[in-house]
Amino acid sequence: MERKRNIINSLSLVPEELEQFNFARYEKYAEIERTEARAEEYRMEDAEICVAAFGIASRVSRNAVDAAREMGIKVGLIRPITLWPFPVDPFKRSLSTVKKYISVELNMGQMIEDVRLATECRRPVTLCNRAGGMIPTPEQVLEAIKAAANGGEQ
Amino acid sequence: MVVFKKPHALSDVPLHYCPGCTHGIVHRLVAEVIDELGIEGKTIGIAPVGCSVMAYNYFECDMIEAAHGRAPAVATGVKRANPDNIVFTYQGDGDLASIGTAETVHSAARNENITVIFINNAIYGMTGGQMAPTSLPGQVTQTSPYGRDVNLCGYPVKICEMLAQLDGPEYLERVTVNNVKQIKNAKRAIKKAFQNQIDGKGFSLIEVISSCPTNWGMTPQAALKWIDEKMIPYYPLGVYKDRSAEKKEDKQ
Repeated sequence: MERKRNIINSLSLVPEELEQFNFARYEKYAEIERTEARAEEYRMEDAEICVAAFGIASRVSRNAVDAAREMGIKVGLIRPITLWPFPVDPFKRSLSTVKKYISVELNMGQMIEDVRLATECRRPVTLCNRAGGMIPTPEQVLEAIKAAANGGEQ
Repeated sequence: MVVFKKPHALSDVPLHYCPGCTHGIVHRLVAEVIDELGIEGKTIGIAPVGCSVMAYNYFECDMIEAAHGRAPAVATGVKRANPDNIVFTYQGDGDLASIGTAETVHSAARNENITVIFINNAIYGMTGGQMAPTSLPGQVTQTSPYGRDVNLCGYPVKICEMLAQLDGPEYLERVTVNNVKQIKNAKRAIKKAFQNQIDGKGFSLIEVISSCPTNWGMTPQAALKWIDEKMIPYYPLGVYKDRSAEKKEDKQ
């Protein structure tokens, strides 16, 4: 064949080459983590309790946060819009005021680990969840917020 | 005067196959056919996962490495996008007859105009000799140390017989390469499988009964004998479907 042949594959069997490939991929991942993480912060200005929730759980949690604010509890919501890259920055900033975190999830607790990593385990993080397609009510989340405010439930 | 040389369609690199493995022979036959049909430069090969995963280094043509078992699906896409190219897959039994069964059956049923070279050595070679869907009843492998128990593991999959039930495929033949006569016969079959594609006839699959001395735990010579004694009685050689020939008969 006159031209150079084309080989399309995704495996690299030479360790020296594969290592360079891995480095290049991780550089790309790092750039994505720097530039693509997104989150919405709601009533977080002076929050001492932070509810972390995404998707359906975040809409339920928003009502609970409003209800708790009316009762005078300083609570806010961080709603990750991207779960990867996880929006670490809003959580890091929140450490200046927040004393406790509540992860509200529609599973047995998956994001709670990301919240702990993002806050480097410097504050207690509790789980408020339903599973199997069941959805928590704003009242259930409000109870979790009140419990956190009253110093219970670590 | 050069009386014997490497086919042009075979790259000038050392093969990684074990001593006595018949992959090298089949590679050579495919390369010779590419040379003889003058299709180098427009042939695209699809490599499998398995021992022949690195076939992309050995054939001097454009190559794509497909995910495990998906070579006929990739070949379908390549051929439909570039109908003027000649597209072949080269797959082992762990790839074609196990994880890729669905792709095999459906590309045959659709009569995709591609050529499939199917290496059946009745075992998973690359991963170290585990039982394959094609392993013979009673065959000792790493995962069937007392021999394949058909009550527990069922029976081997006979790809040519199975695909012959479909109306789709153009050509199905089972050959072997354990002696000179059979090698010549295998080359004829492989050439026909490529010619069918050039003629636009559709799906051709050549099953090549091959040896795996390393994982069968035999010398290369004993392995070639085992093909005659054990493999061929279970996997009889011959043409299982030839639609063009059938049509001719109908007319007569």
